[in-house]
Amino acid sequence: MASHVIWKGAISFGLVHVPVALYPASSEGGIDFDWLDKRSMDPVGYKRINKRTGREIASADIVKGVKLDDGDYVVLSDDEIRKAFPKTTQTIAIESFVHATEIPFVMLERPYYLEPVAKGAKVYALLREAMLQQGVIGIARVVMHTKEHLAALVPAGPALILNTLRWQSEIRDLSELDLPAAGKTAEGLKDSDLEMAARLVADMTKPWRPDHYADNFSDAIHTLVKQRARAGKTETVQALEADTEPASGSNVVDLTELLRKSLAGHGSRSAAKATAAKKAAPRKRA
Amino acid sequence: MARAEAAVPAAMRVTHADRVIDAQSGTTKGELVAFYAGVSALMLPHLRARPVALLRAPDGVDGMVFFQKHAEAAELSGVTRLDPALDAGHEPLLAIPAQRGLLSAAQMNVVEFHTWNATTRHIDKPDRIVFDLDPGSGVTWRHMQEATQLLHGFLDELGLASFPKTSGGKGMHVVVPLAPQLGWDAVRAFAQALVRHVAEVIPDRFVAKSGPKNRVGKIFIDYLRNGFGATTVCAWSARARPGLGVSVPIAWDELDGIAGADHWTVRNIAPRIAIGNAPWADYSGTRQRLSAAMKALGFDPSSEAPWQAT
Repeated sequence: MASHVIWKGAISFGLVHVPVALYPASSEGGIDFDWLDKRSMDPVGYKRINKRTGREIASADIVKGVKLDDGDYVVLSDDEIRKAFPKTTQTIAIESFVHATEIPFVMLERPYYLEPVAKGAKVYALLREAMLQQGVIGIARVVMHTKEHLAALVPAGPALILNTLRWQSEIRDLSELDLPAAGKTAEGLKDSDLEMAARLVADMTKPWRPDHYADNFSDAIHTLVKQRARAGKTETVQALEADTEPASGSNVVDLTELLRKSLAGHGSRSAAKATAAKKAAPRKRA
Repeated sequence: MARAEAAVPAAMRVTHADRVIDAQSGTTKGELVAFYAGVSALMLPHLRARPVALLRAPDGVDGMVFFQKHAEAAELSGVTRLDPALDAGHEPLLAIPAQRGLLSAAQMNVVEFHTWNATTRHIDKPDRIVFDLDPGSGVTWRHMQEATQLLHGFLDELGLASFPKTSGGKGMHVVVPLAPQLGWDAVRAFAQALVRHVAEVIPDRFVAKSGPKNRVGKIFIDYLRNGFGATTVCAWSARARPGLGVSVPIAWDELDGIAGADHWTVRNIAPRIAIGNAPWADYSGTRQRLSAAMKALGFDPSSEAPWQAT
């Protein structure tokens, strides 16, 4: 599979253990509009400021606070926050199976594909087919990126999909809204009205064809960008010196570059490479 | 799994072979001895001429374990006593030159074999640096893989070739072969400076301080294994922990594909034996000096520790 494995572990329930790799099933198809200074075509960035003084603030001076209902803040240290991280388990621990229709759409969060690894194909297929036969999906707990998720394990064609679910506490209470009561009687619906509405709905009912729908805005922008690029109407933006402050969650390429740059100014790096390379036998690079 | 029992010499008697030493995997003492018979040809080059420390688990991996660095009254057949002058003031150090020593040690409930960073020929001058990447709680394996690659890339920038192995537990080991040229203090000070540098540049991934509190969500690169008498678990040694992971040498391009530092265990090691030490084929020809790397790192050995170049 071409995309990046983001997690490896195993589905587990009872004595069954299915080693799997997890891949993102969706991609962010949106358009990134980068900000540029129209006078010079330099990139535009943000500064973190103290909102009272308007002055820039060093990241060492920033602490994290949680706002209370009365407007006061409780300040938590990075250590305290990290201590609350769940323990990594490397398992998708199935807690129960439920019928798929029991889970409201509003709970669905983000889909991932699971691929069997380490000779797990047979037991993977067994779990998938057993769930299909019973018409159920699995409800599991999984820890990814230091966050614990509730997730649904769903058979889909040849794949098992892990769809993270929102916690009940993340879903807004309906009672805040002014809704007509469920059922036909509350608003005094007549059978004839309902029949007419049902007929209209039935007329427009068709098989689900996701390819019939497209993101028109993205397509329009992509087309425009392509036309301009082909016509040579592009601007060159000079890359700046990298910010010395690493953003958390930076990718490994950025961090490698950061380490490389951290050596600048200490003697000659290429000299170090050349000297030791004579000693080192050729080797594989990852 | 291709069992390795056949390789245990007939003259070797394994007592209590059926005793389960690891409840998690159900592995017996007999299987552990057979495991060492199976990997001994791969493990002996890593043990050669190095003082070895033994970790015994007489009540299995869930019971009490004991570290043994020096010879004791009860001798292990095939485990040799080294010249007492190597570690003055103590009982002689130990070494394992042949399969018999591995197997008799395993018969005496040794589960782990740890080695020094120096050989008996140059006991005052380490011939390798070992970085032990030790994840704090909340660190994902993905972050461990990335951290190991980051250290690899950084060593590469410093002009130092390095070789990875799984620890058999949670961490990864990155080994930098050296020409035995500098003393322990200089090598350890360099290792420490390197780790501090990495932790300063990427503070949200690494820490240079040990202790579980400092490590939550981060990776501690342990440089303390680079002092005189410090040891690291030997390649191909089993680990005395549930599941009986095995420390296995890997190639850098294999790192992304393995599922954890305990990817290989006593139970699933068989197919890996055929690959053996091949990922480290270049190791023995790699004898590196640190002077250029020290300069590139801005490390001044004379200010950090007393040392002498030869």
